[in-house]
Amino acid sequence: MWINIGFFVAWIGLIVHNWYVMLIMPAKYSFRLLSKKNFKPKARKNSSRLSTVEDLSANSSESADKGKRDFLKLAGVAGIGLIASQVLPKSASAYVMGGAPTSNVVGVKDSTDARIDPATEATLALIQAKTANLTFDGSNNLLTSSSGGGAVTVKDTTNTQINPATDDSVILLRRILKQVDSLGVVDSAQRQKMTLDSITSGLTLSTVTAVGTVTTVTTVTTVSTLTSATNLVALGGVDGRYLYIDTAHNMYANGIRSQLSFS
Amino acid sequence: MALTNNLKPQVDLPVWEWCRFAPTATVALSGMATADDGSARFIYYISGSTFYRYDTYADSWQQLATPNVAPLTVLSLRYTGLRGYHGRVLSATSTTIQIGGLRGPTLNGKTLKIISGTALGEEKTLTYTGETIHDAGVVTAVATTSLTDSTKKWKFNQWSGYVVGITFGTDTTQYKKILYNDATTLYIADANLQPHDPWNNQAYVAAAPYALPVITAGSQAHFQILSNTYSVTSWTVTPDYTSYFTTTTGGLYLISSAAAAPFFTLQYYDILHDSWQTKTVNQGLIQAALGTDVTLERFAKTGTAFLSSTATAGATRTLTDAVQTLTVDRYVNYRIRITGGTGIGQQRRIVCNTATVFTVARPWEVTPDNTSTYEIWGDYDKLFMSGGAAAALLAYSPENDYWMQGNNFDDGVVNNIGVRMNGWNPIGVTTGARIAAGVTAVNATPTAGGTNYVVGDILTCSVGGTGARVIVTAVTTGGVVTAIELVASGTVTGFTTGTGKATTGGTGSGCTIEITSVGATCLVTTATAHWFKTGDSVTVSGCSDSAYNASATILGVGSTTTFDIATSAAGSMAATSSQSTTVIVDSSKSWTTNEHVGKLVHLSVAGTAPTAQIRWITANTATTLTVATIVAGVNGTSKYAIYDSKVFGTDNQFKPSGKQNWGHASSGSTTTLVDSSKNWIINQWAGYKMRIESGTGFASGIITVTSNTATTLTYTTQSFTPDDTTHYEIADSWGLITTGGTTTPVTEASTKNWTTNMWAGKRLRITGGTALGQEGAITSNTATALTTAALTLTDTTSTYAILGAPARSTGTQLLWIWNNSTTATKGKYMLSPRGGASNTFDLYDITTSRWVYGYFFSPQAETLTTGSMYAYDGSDGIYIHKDATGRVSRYDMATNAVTGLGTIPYGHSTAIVGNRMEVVETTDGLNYLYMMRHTGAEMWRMLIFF
Repeated sequence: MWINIGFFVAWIGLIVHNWYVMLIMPAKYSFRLLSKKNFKPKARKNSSRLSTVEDLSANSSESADKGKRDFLKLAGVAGIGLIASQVLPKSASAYVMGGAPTSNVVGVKDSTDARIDPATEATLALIQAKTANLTFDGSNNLLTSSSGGGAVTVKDTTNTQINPATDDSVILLRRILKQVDSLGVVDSAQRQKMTLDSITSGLTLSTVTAVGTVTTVTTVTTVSTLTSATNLVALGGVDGRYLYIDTAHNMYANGIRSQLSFS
Repeated sequence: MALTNNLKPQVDLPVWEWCRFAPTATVALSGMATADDGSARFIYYISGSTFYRYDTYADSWQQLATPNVAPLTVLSLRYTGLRGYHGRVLSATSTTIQIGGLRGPTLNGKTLKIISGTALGEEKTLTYTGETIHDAGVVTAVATTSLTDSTKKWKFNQWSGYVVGITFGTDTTQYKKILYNDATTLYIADANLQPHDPWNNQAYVAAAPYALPVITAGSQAHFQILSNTYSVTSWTVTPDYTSYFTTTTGGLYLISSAAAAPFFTLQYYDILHDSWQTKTVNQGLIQAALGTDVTLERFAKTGTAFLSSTATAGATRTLTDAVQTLTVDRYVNYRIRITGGTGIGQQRRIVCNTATVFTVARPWEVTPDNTSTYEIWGDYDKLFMSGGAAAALLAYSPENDYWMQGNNFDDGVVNNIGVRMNGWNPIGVTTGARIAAGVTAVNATPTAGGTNYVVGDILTCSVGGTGARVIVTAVTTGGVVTAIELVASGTVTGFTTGTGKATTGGTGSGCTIEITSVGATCLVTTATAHWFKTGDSVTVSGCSDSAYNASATILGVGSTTTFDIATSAAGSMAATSSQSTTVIVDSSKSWTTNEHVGKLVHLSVAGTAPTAQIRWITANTATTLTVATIVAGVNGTSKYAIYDSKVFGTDNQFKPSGKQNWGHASSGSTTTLVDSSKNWIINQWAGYKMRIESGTGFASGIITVTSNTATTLTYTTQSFTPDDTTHYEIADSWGLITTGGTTTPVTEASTKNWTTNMWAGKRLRITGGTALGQEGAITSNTATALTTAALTLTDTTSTYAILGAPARSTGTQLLWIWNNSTTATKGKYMLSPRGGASNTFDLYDITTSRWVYGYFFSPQAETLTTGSMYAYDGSDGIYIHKDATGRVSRYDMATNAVTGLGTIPYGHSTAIVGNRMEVVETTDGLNYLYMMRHTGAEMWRMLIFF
């Protein structure tokens, strides 16, 4: 019986998982999800992103919201009953809830297997007290408030309030991490490295402003404009300057030496 | 070969050819040099410590020996064709000569000149006839100055002048001249002998390709002692052991900076020997390392002589050529050389000339006469240096191995008693001990040969006297002595002639000798090692007993610091004068009393980087110089030089013609000197000091002018009456300080009358005494005092000069214009761009030793600084490369115009100091300009055809 209830608690945890707060830690490629103190969420076995879950409410400033949290616990329990009553078939619920399947009466028991009557339980008063501190809009959405007065708020580690409904950085980070996951290799220093595929086919570079050093280029089909090759060390194994040197020798031979004669 | 040149300016454009790249790129510490007389096949190039030559025939490079001392910061390289391989003649016949030459026929076809000693002035072409290896061995001990083979028993100094070569083991192929030797050791270097034989006094240096010889088994040095013989055409005078020679095979001088005093280095590269020599650089002349730029220029014997003729007469200090009509003082500071007839080979600096008479700086040793032919050249015993952000010009004497600040008059090695060979500086004597009856001769054949002796055994005879010694020179089988020579006359008197005189010592026994002659002998002990051999003729000087002061023949050489002579003196040697804190003595001189008063004497200790003391000479006798307090010179080892206190580049106060401070008298009286060519301002010279440089009145000391008219100087009564031989000079901008200071370092009370602030902006140099070598800008002056930024405190020993030209900077150079087309000024000027982004050139007038500064030429807008290079074409052209622009211009001395020449086909890299541009003239008379790229290995050349 309690196993089944636990299953539903976890399921509700998923529903409210927008309350998890994602903090980017100093390590470049890791982050942690923090929950409110009174939740006891389990790490998701299939999510390598959730390396650690930590208590966010260690900050004493959160004590003002303790009542709200208590309410959430109760609301969760109440929600379970409400949802279960709507979702489970009567016959099934009888099995689950401990009632006689044939009586169409749903019962609730406590941990000592004693039946509970929700209509009379003292906890209802407590639930009511907590509920009164909450604000709902017309669609029964729980409202947050920047002032914190009467509404649930969530803050990050810098004590900056986060609006779970509008803060999209968490989503973006998740997307990036997802993409990186498939490419990255984590080395021994826990650094993620990227591996680029080699260029195996032809490559066209429309404009290259500057190239520091190119060790080997097997074939260059066309170079439309070569603005400057400052230090063409060798050409065909011969010092590149001999292009000019040989030309100068020819100029001398044709222009100067031919005008000199000795007899 | 006749050349036809059809190139036409404007039709044909210049072409820069690319030469092969240098193996090492140019850096600030690099430079080039080549011969400037059309004989250049090679261009020498140094970059750091790597040294190459570029072969203009082959368009290729060769690496040469590394300098002994690595250049530092800046350098300048200059070629000299006057020098080459030096040595002493070992022997000669009428048509042969034996020298310690290099291996095989290295000197074949080369010209050898006798430059001192017997046969002075003879020049011969050598034809190789053979090489002799006299001895060989394995070194058992080694130092940088000597090699020892303990198995040897050589005669003292028997190898002096020969060559010792390392032929196996470490340092193979290094050959050195032997200065002197004892029984087992060959000495190739000795700091004390630097003034005596600077060209051969060369220690082993580990500079590639050479190393230091070692005795380590397996790499120990094997040596050979050798000489070479050459045939020559008949000598007019046959050389002998006193004769010293050079070949005209060329060399290079390299000057650079040094981190410590003396703050610069000078080295000489002997091209034929492929080795460097470390030359002397005196301390005190430069106060800090050369940091900006430096340039070196030498006067040389290039082209043809400026004048060649035959003397009609000669006198102690003059040569007369009555057929001449010379401009007065046209050839001052040129060099006159007797090329034939009486006095051949002598050379002197000219201190003045009239229309027909040349007066020289020191007396002739052999007075010329009407048989004497002569030539006038540039003063090729000068190598000028400027730079280092200073205005001073300094000069090096290659012949005498010292630096001077002004024109030199004489030099030598201080000695109380001296003993000298013909043509050499005297060796100092410490003692000369006479004995009444010493051995003066022995029979070369022993009375009894004994047994078991070996050649080289020293046998002592103390029969009658004590300590006579002979050396065994030949033995037969069984060690029987067959020949001996006297090596020592004995230390205690009492010897008598006769046979069968017993001996002791050596490896055998039983040898007795015959003493054939006895007499008064003197055992002379020298202050340094000597190179004398038995039978050499020497001249003694400086003894109070004049009987010693004569020529003597050496009876025997008992060690490298002793020898014996016969004497007629009654007692042992005693010096007439000795070195002291106020007197410098050179007993070998015969100066005219007070001829050197007012000049500077530079006294240095031994070695190639000696400390120096420079003083104003206040009096002199025939053999002594009196100065302000000094640390006394060291008998036999201290070098001195006497030079003008009007140092190179001293400014003059009145520049207009007719108002200058020097000239020739036209007449006078004992109280007046008349120079009718002058138009002085009344009393412009009142109080100034004057000296008679030559002619009538010479050696009258310092004369104070009391007044003057337009043409007449008046002074207190003198002992002479000026005439037209009287050459005078008034000290207007230099002198001896009467009151020292730091910011007013110069005060010359009552002896100057300068216009206020006329020297502001000029440079002051302390030329002697305390604060020697300081230089600073003059900020102001009064009539008698100069103010500068703080200098080291001067005092009354300090001397000074006001320099005319500003300090040199980056891009400066000295270029001697030795063959310009204007006869009246040929060889008269050195051109010096100031550098440091100045557009200004200064001309140094060699005849006056003054600057013609701020010279104009057209156009003159371009400034010159780091990267600027210069080359002289041996005519009227000076080629100027501006900074790192690649642009070359030509300055024409004849037209005073600057025109373009060309631009290199490739950009320079980073501009650097140092000169790497040269003009090479082919045997057909074509001039090519060669230039290297700044911070690169490229070199180009361009035919100059317009």
